[in-house]
Amino acid sequence: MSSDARPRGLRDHQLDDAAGAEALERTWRTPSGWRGFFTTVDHKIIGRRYIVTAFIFLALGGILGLVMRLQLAWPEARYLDPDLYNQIFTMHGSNMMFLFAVPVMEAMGVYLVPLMVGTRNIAFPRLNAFSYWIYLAGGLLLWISFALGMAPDVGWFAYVPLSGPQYGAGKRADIWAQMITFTELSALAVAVEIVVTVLKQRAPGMSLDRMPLFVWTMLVTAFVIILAMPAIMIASTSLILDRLVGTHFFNPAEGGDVLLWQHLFWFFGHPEVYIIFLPAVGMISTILATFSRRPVFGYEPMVLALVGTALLAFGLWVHHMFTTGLPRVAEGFFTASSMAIAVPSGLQIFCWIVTLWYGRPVYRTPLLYVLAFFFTFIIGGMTGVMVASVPLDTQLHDTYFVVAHFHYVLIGGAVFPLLGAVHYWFPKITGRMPSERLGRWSVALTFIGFNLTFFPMHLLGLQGMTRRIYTYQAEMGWGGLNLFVSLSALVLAAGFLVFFVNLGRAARHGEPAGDNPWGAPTLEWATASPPPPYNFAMIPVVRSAHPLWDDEEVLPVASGLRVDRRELLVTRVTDARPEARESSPRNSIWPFWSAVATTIMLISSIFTPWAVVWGAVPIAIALTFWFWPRGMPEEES
Amino acid sequence: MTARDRNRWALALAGWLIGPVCWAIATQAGQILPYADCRAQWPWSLPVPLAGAALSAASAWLAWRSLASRRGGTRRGDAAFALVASLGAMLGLLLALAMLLQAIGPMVLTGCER
Ligand code: HEM
Ligand SMILES: [Cu+2]
Repeated sequence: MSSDARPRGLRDHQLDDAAGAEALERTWRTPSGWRGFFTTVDHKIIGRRYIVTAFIFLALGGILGLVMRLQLAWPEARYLDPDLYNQIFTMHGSNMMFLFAVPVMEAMGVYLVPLMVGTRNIAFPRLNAFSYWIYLAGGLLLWISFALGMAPDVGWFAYVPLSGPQYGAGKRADIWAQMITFTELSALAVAVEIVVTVLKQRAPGMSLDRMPLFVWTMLVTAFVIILAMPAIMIASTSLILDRLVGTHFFNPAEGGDVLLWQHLFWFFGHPEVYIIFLPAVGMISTILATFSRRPVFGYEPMVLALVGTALLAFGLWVHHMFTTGLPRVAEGFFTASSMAIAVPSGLQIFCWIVTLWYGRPVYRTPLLYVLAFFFTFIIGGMTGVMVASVPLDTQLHDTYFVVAHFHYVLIGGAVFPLLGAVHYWFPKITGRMPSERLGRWSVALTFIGFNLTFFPMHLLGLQGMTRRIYTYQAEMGWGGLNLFVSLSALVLAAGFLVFFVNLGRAARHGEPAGDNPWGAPTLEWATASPPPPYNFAMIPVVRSAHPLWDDEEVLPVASGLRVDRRELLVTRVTDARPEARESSPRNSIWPFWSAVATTIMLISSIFTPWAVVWGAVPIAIALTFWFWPRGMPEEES
Repeated sequence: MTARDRNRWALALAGWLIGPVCWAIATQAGQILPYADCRAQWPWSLPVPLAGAALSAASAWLAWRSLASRRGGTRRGDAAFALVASLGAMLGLLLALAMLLQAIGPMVLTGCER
């Protein structure tokens, strides 16, 4: 580059606005066409891609849900044989948890966090590109195995010994275990990026007490991921070892332990529900503040609730194992924490209600989704406290009561806020407004459809209907409710359909949105919609927790970053005082090739342990090119 | 950072560390000690959460105290510190509550119930 010859490089304040924007555009843009597609490291392009992919998995998983409901609508139906039913509920659960819920929440963070903290790209952008390709590969692995009729059939938590070498024939359980490795790898990568972005790349002035609540939730979630995910990766790897090379981690005959699997799985599995729920909390707070036209009541209690929930989430896992014969006293310790976690949750709900109460609420679609959340999540929370009690859980374990409970918290607690959030940020992402009328229809249909579908499942559970059964006899008397549930599922599906149609249409024909159509207070609305490749022409300077609601005519900005190479501002963890200018990586094809090499290694290792040895060679080569130094100074103070 | 600064940060962070560490120990001990409770007919698993709750509450108090030593100025770092310190205090209390609830089990059960 010729500009590198200049002594200090070209800075933004040396150019007028138009020339500055043009230079930034040249520096940060992603080339068009296939080359750009595979080489981009722009967090917005990757985030969008992540979100779209996750929603495709939601749709596929939803179709499986409907297929199960078709099978269960009548007693002794014969649409699915037991083997296929086993594969379908396993696919549904694994797909929804690992390919939809966790990734979609992280994807929202990938897109929004850099914009909300006022920086130009996420930290470790190439790792971000890598994580997407790895996630996609894991998803394809699972769905291709399903298409080939060899999908996992061991349930979404794949308990041993069912999934072990003795009972799990073929490669089905290995595919499940390796899908885990893919998705957790990508989740860990994103978590690291988010932690660094939030702690070191905040706009000057955005001290910890001025961080948007959504950014707090993503930060806390990222830490939960970093603490929880290694447990499941260890579990799935040990399972593969047991199955492939004859280790005995889970084989009691040789000194292994079956319950070890459950401990490892749920040490991850319970925090996972908070990995899904905490970002939703951030979305709710954001939407509530914008549409009540006031900051969320109680910033400190809200952050406390986040951190407290995230901590306690690590001491609840045995509540999934109440029926395994552990000493009751030991179980009591987990009931205690399961009850204590109601304190931060209650605090949160209280703050939200006060926010609405003292605000001037404008009831647009995103806020309506939040109201749908309130109602649904409170029911889910109450049934949660019920099954946290050992005697009750002993009765209800593995019945449809539990299926009802976790759909109330997953769909009510996370999917409703997510749909609201996607509707809310859609104008920022695409520059176009979704239709309010269709939006309202989607809220009404999903809310009513959801409750009609899942509420009766509580009753079925109380009547003794167990989960994961492919059919039941007419004498059980469950036929009527099951038919009702199955018909209601169609209403729910229609709601999702309206949601997709609305956004699909708006992406093409929606009204232009402008920078800040909702009058929101946070920084992502301080730039164009959709944002330019460099996010902000000048780095904003923050003077309060809701910069766009301050009475200033123009947002104050910091200048001095170079425009002829990718540069960001690094700031201090506590008070976000500027510390250094740091270069941000350029586009590269090597994250893609590294992901391909990793995929080949991981998939082959299902078949032979030697794949780990030989597969490491191409990975090492790809990583070498990825990290090849370019002889540029990395940072300047 | 001055020595005084370092001191108050240490107190504030005590609230973040002591409570969670005690609670992690209590939770883990709660899985191990009930077998001993049953054998010895004495609630070994009771003192751990009780002591943890006491320590955690004490750390909350320390974090709260560190708040009072804040300069009351308008420097940016002070507001961030106030947030960290009061969170430390509240976390200590929350985990003390969790450990008090944990102590109920060994008070009413012998450890032999399965
Ligand atoms: C279209 C809406 C949905 C329908 C109709 C539906 C239906 C069902 C049904 C009937 C089962 C029980 C299968 C059985 O035990 O035999 C089930 C299980 C499950 N669902 Fe859903 N579901 C839907 C959406 C979701 C979503 C959005 C999530 C997560 C975010 C989810 C997560 C799960 C999980 C984890 C299981 C347990 C799978 C297992 O037993 O291994 N579902 N679902
Ligand atoms: Cu749980």
